Formats: sequence, C-alpha cells, structure tokens
Amino acid sequence: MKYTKILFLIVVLSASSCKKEEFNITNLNGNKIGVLGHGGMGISSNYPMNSLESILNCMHLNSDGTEIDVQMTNDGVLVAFHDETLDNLTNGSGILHDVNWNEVNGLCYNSPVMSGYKVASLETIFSALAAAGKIKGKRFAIDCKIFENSITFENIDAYCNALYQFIDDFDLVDNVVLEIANEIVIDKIHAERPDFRIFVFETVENAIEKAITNQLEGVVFSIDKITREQIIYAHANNVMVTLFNTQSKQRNIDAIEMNPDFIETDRLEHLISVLK
Amino acid sequence: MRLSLMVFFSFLAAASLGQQDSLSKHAIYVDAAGPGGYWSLNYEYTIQLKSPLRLSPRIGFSTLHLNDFTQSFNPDLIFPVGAHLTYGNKHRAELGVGETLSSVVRFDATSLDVKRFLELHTYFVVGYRYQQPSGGILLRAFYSPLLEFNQRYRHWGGISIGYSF
Repeated sequence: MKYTKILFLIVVLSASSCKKEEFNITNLNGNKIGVLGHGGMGISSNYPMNSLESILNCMHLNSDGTEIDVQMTNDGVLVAFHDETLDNLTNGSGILHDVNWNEVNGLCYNSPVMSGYKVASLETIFSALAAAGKIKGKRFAIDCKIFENSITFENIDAYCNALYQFIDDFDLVDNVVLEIANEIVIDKIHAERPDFRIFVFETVENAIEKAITNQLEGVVFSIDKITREQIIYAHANNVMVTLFNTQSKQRNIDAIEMNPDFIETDRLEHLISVLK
Repeated sequence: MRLSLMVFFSFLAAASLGQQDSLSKHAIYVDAAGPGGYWSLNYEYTIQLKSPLRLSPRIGFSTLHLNDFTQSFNPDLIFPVGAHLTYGNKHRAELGVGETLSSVVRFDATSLDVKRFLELHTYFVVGYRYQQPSGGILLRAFYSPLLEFNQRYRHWGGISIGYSF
C-alpha cells in the first residue's frame, strides 16, 4: 500500500512536470509565434552560425524558418556570414566585402575545433535547402549586413541588385523577409521592389514609426530593447515584431510572454518544445 | 604525420629497456579539451623505461554530434592516438605527440548531400601529471597545440582526471 502511494505520487509529479506551459498569444501572425533559428542553430550551437550545417539542422528540426546574415563579396557573391571581417570566425582574414569569392570559398570556421565547417554562399545554402525540400512554407529572414565602412551608392546598388536576382532566381518572394538597418537601403528596396517584405532594424521608436509611415511589414529588436507596451503599440498599427537575443530557456519564455510575432532564438530546440 | 610516427616508434623501441612489476600499467582518464577536441575518454598503457622515465601510448574517443544536421543518427567520430613520455614519480613532467583522426559529417557542396570526411590532425603535449606509480587518481594539466588538418597551428590545451590501476 505504501509503495502504491509512492508510485502514484511519482506518476503525478512526472505528469505535472511534463505538462506544456500554456501561453495566451495574441499577435498579427494568426496568434502563433513563428519559431526561427538565429543564423540556423544559434550562437551557442556546436554548428557555427550561418554555416550550411547549422541552417540545415535548424530546418530539419521543424522550425518555421531561420534568420541568415547576408553580406556581399567584392565580386558580387552573396555570402552567409555575420562579422564584417573574416579574422575572428574563420581561418581567413580581411574585410569580407573587400575580397573576392574565390578567396572566401573554402575558408573554414574556427569553431568547433577540427570540424572543418565552411563559409557558404547564399546560393549553395538555398540549393541545399531546395534539394532537401525545406523551402516551401518556410520563412527566411535575411539580415542585410551592409557595414558603415562599405556604404557607398555603388555598393548599395550592387548589393540590392544581387539580392533581387537571388530572390527571383530561387522564387523566394513569398518566403523571404528582409531585415534592414540602413534607411537608404530600406527606401531603395521599398521603392524598387514593393513586393518584398521589410522588417526595420533600428532604435525602437524610429523603427516602429518608420514601419507605420512606410507601411512596412515589421520591426526587429533584441528582447532587451523593447517593452511589451511597445509591441502592443506596433500591433495596434499593423506592424509585426520579431525578437532576438534569446540565449537561454528563460529568455525564450520571457520573449514568448512579450507576445511577438516571431522569435529568432539561440535555443531552438527548447522554443520548439514549448511552442509546437 | 611522418614526424609523429617516427617519435611514436622511437618510444616503442625505447620501451624494450625494461619494466617494473609494481607499476600500474593501465589508466583511464577524461580530457577536458585536449587532443580530442572539447573532451575525450582515453585509455593509456604504461611501459617503464629507465626509471623514472615512462612511456604511455594512449587511444581516446570523442564526438561532436551523435545526430547529423539532418537529424539522422550519424555520429562524428574523433580518435586521439599518441605516445606520451613522463618523467618523475608522483609529480611528473609530460611530453607527447600523436595524431587525432577525425571523421566528421559535413555538407558536400558538390553532391549537395551529407558526406563523411576523414581527416588527420597532429598534436603535441607538454604538461604536468600527478600519478602515483602504484596507481590511483591521475590528474593532468597540459598545453597541447594542434596542427589542424595538418595545415594550421592552433593553440590548445586541457586538463584530465582519471584513474590508473
């Protein structure tokens, strides 16, 4: 009898600990929070952010999509890469925008040790995603990385043209949203390709007002930079909100409770387990 | 690669100098970082050379992922193999060299598919070891630079804890 009681207690406790948390989600994304990877599997993964392996792993975990940092080489090849320079993350060196693709092609990420994961072009990544059947119905947030040092009208022109060509070639208009910090780039793309969906990545007040004024789809912020009230205000004005910088399980929960439309998480498996 | 094999076989030849009966010959230890990457589980066999010099060939195992990026069970396999020379009794200086064999699953951009890549990395070890000749707890702290893919030098190191018997 005593053992039966103990067993019953264990079963009850296990069942209550397995119970999924319930969240009251109200947003502009059909009252569901879209789960996106941050550069694939996020900053603390064993796969380097923006590597092909990281992005494929993210998509195979049944996420809703992923954010990808995108830069352009000197000869116009779009590359998935976060930093302005190659020095810290790879075995190469120099500013990515100043070197040609043949100097980037084959470079390995420094971490994890002895892994040999390579820097990938956007074309290779989407060819791989297409081959794996992981594009349809998925969302790809392209973080347009144009650094201050390389901002000229010629460079912006070349970057935008390469992006248009890429999105059209892979027929990604419905799958891609562009996250852009630079106002000139936002205005240019919005004027030239009104069919592209743009998320503004600026200071909170500027970004929300910019999105409202120009009828852009949304804004993107670090979870630390925005309040729940500002998200309510954005939603009231038909502006979607993406949050990032959720590097722990608790920050995933904090982000969910703020009621955004999308979360670009560094703890993907946890966020999927909570929301899906 | 050639250098590490030469040193390894020199160590084995030197091993014929003699052995002691009371010596604990086997050791199992876990490296945090070290020649296996971020961690490795290792077995070591100790041969007594001219006292207090000892030679310890080791083999280890580690992995980066058990499932590959398509979520299939397809583990990365990492095997550090080498020979370490220690000098001293309870407190020892340690020198070693070896090869880490890695079999890592990556994406192959040519075939647009998952592919396993077999690669070699040479490692060197300079460090301190606490180990009683008769056996018991084993502790190590070491600098273990890697010649990754036998092409690029990487500063690396680690600590170990284990048991000899």
